[in-house]
Parts: sequence; structure tokens; C-alpha cells
Amino acid sequence: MGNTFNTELGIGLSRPVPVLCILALLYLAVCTANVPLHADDSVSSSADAADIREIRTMLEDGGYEPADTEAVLELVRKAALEGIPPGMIIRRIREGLAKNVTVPRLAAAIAEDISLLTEAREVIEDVRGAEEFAARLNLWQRTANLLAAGLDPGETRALIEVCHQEPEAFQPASALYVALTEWRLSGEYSLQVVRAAVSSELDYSQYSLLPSLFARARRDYIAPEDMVRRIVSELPNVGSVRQLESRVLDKRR
Amino acid sequence: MKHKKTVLSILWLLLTAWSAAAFEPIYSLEGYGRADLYSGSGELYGTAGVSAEAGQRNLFDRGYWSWYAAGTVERYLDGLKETVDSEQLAADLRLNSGNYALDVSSTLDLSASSLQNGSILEPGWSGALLYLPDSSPLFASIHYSGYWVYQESNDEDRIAHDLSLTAGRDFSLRLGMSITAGAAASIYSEDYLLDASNQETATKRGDLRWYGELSFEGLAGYFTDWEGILYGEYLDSNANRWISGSSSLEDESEDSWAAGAEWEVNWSPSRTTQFGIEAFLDYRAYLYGTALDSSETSTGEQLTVTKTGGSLNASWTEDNTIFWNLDIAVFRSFSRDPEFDSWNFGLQAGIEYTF
Repeated sequence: MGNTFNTELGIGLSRPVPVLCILALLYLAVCTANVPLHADDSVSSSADAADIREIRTMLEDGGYEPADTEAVLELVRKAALEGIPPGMIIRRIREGLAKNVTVPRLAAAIAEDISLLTEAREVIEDVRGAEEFAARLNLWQRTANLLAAGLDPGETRALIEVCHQEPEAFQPASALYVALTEWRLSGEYSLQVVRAAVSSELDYSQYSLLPSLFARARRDYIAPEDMVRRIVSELPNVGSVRQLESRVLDKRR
Repeated sequence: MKHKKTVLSILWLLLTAWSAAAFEPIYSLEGYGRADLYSGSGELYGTAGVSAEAGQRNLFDRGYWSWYAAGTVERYLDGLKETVDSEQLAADLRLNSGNYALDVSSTLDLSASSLQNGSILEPGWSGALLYLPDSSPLFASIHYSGYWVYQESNDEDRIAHDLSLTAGRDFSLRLGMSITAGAAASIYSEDYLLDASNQETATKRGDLRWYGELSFEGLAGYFTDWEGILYGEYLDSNANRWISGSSSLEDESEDSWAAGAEWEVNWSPSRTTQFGIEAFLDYRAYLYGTALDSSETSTGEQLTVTKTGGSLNASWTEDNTIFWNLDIAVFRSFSRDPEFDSWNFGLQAGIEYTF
């Protein structure tokens, strides 16, 4: 819109106009100084407007054509109107610019992000008492990232249910869940481990050590499901993974 | 009164341990075949074996106790045509109290028929006091272990005691380091020193080994762990040896220093698969021992032996019941003395059933 405004001004000055008209235009400009000059500013909050301005600057500085810039901004504005803060999309745009991707590719990536964030919000809204997950952008974004990583909405919802009383645990707990399921432990058993970890006195940073217990158990021929039972039964009794390890793993032979 | 308290404490401990909650025991049976190629003969030796393992951990409020049993029977198919066996029994007990823990363990290694030593009986024991505070990255321990070994066809029967101190620090959740200093003494009951005419004297062999270790361990990713050890040792022994080629006695022939490194990485990319890599390098220089030539005559040159090798193991299972195992190992020893200059290569493949 900024470019459009400048173009309009340029056209205006290219014509021979009477001095009075120019003065009238100047008066109008002064009177309307507080009215948004860009459509960017018409979005829900001043923070969103600032983010959109930042996106515009990024796109312009990145060498995108005005029409392309507008196409991308249109997507962002639509998302903002649907309650998705532009700030959540900035990272994708920054990544696209860094990789010098074409506008269609960038637009497709943004549309995908918007779709995931919308789906993530729906998943969060399904969990009673998890409003904080939608209110805190990092938790909302994390939820979308999990969906993007291939977790189905049911798994994601279950993780939010486990963590909704303790939102700070969501990031490490969900990382633990993804690690275990990628290791091919079933979702059901992985969730048992996550639930036990969140209920325990373990520091969140220690969650990332729990998968290594499964690898060590694998060397001792302890079945992963047996290991889950051991961890679930012993986590309430320990304060660290080091203590847990000494209780649930057999001494290495 | 004091004795009464001690007896009651022991009874309480035994009752607590006996009533411990037990994890399910694990049993496994493996059948395997191995092929070894040795530099000495240049021939390939085949071996077939079966092994069995069982173990269980039992928890109670302030610790755990566990037991472990294993046995192996191997048949050398070529040349040697011998059958050998080895068995091991072990039990461990840990008691926790705040930031401290006490470990006690005992082992019994047995063999009715071993390849070089006939029957073997080797009981072992150990105890450790550990300082493991959860609120600090520092930890420390004092560790004692000992064993006595009887070997039917060998004069190296001995009793050994080892005392070490360890201090360590976890630099982060994924990197820890520890340093150990220790001493180990061995008294040989049948190995007597020789005199200048190659006759046994009344003096038994005794070794004192001083050693230090610097260990690092860590995680590289969720399912990859590694460990590295750098070590050095000095062996002070009164042992001597008879040099048959030159009919001379070499005093203090075992005195030596050594330094080396060991490294191990284990990676489990998924629950079905496990890989392990180990490598080591060990250099030993004898202070008075000399290298012999092929006619067993001293060359007058210092005896040094450099050993290096490694192994790769892989294991695959689809159902956590049947495991397919593969081990490949290589070993190389370099020395001026042809007896210590050798290599071998081994390949073992097995199928293991666990229940």
C-alpha cells in the first residue's frame, strides 16, 4: 500500500494543478494525519500493524517486486483478521528471504503455516482449561510445529492435556514424545513416559536424557515396554535421571 | 547391646531386600558361530557356541539388589577340537542415604574346562562408597575390589586387591568427566622367582600397580552415548624370567609403564536396531625387560608393545524376542619381539532368544 500511495502522489504531481488545489490537498493531509495511510495499519492491534510494517520492509529490502510484496502481505493481513498474529509468520518470511525462494513458494509456505496454526488453535480449544496455550504464542507455535512434524491432532491434544497444568513442560515434554515415537516406541507408551515425567520432580531440562535410558536398556535386552513400566513406577521416587538410571537399568554386563 | 543392634539392623536390611519389588527377570539364550584368523598360523578357526544369561533387579525404598547368572559353552571345530565353558554368578546391593550410596557386590567366575588354564575358580568382591549429590554437578567415590583366582593348569593363581578414589563433574546434562587414581596389589601363590640357575626360589611374585584414569562420557543425540578413557599406569613387580636362548636371568622383567586410550560409542537409531563401536590403543614399555628374537635370545633392546584394535557390533530385532547379533573385531600388536608382534581378525554371528 505504501507503494500505491507514493504512486498516487506521483501521478498527482505530474499534472498542472492550481496552487489552491495544492493548498487544499496539504490541508487535507494535515487534517488526516492520524488516519492510517496504509492498509497495514488496519489490522487488529498496533503490534500486528508493526509486524506487518516489518514484513513489508523485509520484503522490500529483499528485492521483491511491489506486486509480490502485496501478494504476501495480503496473506498476512488475512491471517491477522482470523486472529493469527503476523509475528508468528515473520520467521517463515525471514527464512524464505534467506533462501531467496520465489514468491509462489514463499506464499505456499505461509499458507501452510496459517493452516497449521489454525488447526493448532482448534486442537488447543478442544482441551478444557488449555486456554493459555492459545494465549501464549510460543505454546501455540509449538503445537503447530508438532502437527507439522507429523503428529496427528489426537496425539497433540493428548500432549496438551498432560501439560496443560504445567505449560512450561510442554516444549521438553513434546520433544521427549517425538523422540520416543521416532525411535518407534508406540504413542501410547511414549505418552506414559511423558505423563510420568511431567508428574515427577524432574527438572524439565532432564527430560531430554530419558531416551538414552531406552538405548541402554536395549543393550541389556530390556524390552522398551518393560522399560516404560520401570520408568513409570520409579520416576515418582527420584529427583534426577542419574538416580532413575541406577534404579531401572541393570548393571552393564 | 551393640551386637543386638547390629543383628537387628542386618535382619531389617535382609527383610527389606527380600520384600523388594522386583522387575521382571530377563532370560536369554544365544547360539552363535565365530571365525577367527590368527597371524601365527594364518589359519581360520571356527567355533560354535551357546550361551545363556539371566538377571533381575529388585528395588526397595533405599536401594536395590540384583542378581545375574551367565554361562557359555564353546566348541573349537578346527584343529583344537576342544570344548570350553565359562560361568558367572553375580549379586549387587545398593543402599542410598541422602547424597551417599553404598555399593556391595560379589561375583563368582567358573570354568570346568578353559582353553589354556584347565578349570578356573575366581570369586570376586567389591564395595564402594559414593557421594552423588543431586544438587551439585560434583560426585566422588572410594572403591575397593578384590578377587582370588585358581587356575588348574597355570601357575598364576593369585589374590588381588584394588583401591581407588574417583572424583568427577557433570559439565552439562550431556557431558561428564571423572578422574580416578588407584593402586592394585597382587600376590601370586604359585609363581616363584627364579635364581641364576633357573631354579625356583622361596620368594613369591608380587605386583603393585599404580594407575590413573581420565574418563569422559556423554550423549550425542537422544539415543547415542559415548565414553572415552585415557589412562596411565606403572607396574612395579619383583617377577623375573629365564631367557632360554642365552641361558640368562632377566630381573624385574615385568616392571613397566603403560599409557592408552579406549573409546566406545553406542547408537540405537530405533528400537529394532543397535550399533556399537569400540576402539583402543595401549602402549607398554618395559623398564628392564628386553625384546627377544625368534631364537628366544635377548636382543638387548628395550621391550615395547603397542596394541591397538577395535570392534563393531550390530544387533537387530523386530519383536524384542529374537535378536540377530553380529560382531566384528580386529586386533594388532606391534613389537620388536616376534612373540608380541601379532594380529587377529574375528567375526561372530548369533541369534538370541530372550524371554
